[in-house]
Amino acid sequence: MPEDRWRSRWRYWPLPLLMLLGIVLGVLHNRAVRLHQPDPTILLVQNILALPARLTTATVKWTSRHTGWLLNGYSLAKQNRKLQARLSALKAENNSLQTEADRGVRLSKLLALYQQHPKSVAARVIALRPDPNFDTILLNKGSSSGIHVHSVVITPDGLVGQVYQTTPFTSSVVLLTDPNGMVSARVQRPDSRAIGLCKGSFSPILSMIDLPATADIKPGDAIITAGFGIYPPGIPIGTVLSVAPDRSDVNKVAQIEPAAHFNRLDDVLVLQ
Amino acid sequence: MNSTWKTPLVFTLALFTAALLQMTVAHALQIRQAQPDFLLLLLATGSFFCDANPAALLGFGTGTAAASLAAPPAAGFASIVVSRVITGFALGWLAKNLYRDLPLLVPPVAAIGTALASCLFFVFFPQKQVTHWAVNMAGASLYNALLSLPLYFLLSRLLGRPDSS
Repeated sequence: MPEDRWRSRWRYWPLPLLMLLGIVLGVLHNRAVRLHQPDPTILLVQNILALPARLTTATVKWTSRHTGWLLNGYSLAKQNRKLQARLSALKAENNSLQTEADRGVRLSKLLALYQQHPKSVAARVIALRPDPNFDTILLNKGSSSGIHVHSVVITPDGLVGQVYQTTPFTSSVVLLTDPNGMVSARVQRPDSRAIGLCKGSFSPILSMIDLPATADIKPGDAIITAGFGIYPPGIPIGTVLSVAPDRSDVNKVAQIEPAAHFNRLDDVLVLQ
Repeated sequence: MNSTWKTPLVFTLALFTAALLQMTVAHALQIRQAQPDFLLLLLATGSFFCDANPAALLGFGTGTAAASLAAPPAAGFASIVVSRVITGFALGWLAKNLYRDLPLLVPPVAAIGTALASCLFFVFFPQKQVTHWAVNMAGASLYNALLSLPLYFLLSRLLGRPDSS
């Protein structure tokens, strides 16, 4: 029957339709990124998930802080139940105090940094690298807190990256370790003014490229932002691990250990 | 509950939970460079309970959620969505026509589905760091294979075995 043949042929019509819809969403996303406008799809998804994510993160942290000692205590109880209970309780208390102390130190550092940059917003990381193909993080503050595209994100340790997407209540940040993250940098040594470009490659180590062969740079040198482009000058980027000629043998390339701890990002400051 | 609404409702809740876990827990579960991809896990395991078209729709949902969470700084949004639509469709079609309700196949299908989505993503949006991409793909595939059976049995409990639906 021709009608059956027609039905069978068009049975899988949702596939091309959904693919087309995906492409349309992608085009709209690219357009939004280019025009520095919020992407409506991201706006919708991130706003739906932002509050539950904050609650989940807080619950996981609270649970691990208050019940982690139970898991540790179980294995030790085999050796000495009584002593272990005492030890676990002390460990839990110690862990709790240490966590609070660490948080206190971290927040006091952040406060000191905030006093240096009064026009900044403190934010918390609610998603760290949600997709391993992109080194990005999601913050719990967005355009309603004054964060905008190209806002610079720092920690007391050093530069983290820049905001490239905002919704009213979240911001997406591209980390320095992402190949899309690039910053002009210079050596922080009075007798050296070597300037280059720091870029990421998904590796925990950054590369400083475009250094002339005569550039005065050596292992141990501190690297800071040069102040060109959107990044203000003087923000620590990292420390030089090694210097070698690049592939062309014309320039040098330096390996930089980042100052910021990208795997332990918790509280950050967003410069406005 | 009316079974017409039960499956979409369960998958909507599962999609929300998977996106939330991907946001908050996935990176914390990282071993070396491997981390689970809860959205792809849902897609691969959920495809056992769908025909090709609903599985493609599930792929669209998981793809849009994944792309919105990653919010690629450059291009790549459409590549994530389309790769998952195709993966969902392929897995749904195979589940319906080839291996419906074979729990032993769930882990390999989860691993292959994860790898297929990653490979399609690579084809649509070639990555400069091939090693990084390959290690991520292998890690996520293994992780998803490990997590797939518990999810399969949970979905079976909520939706009934695929052959009885």
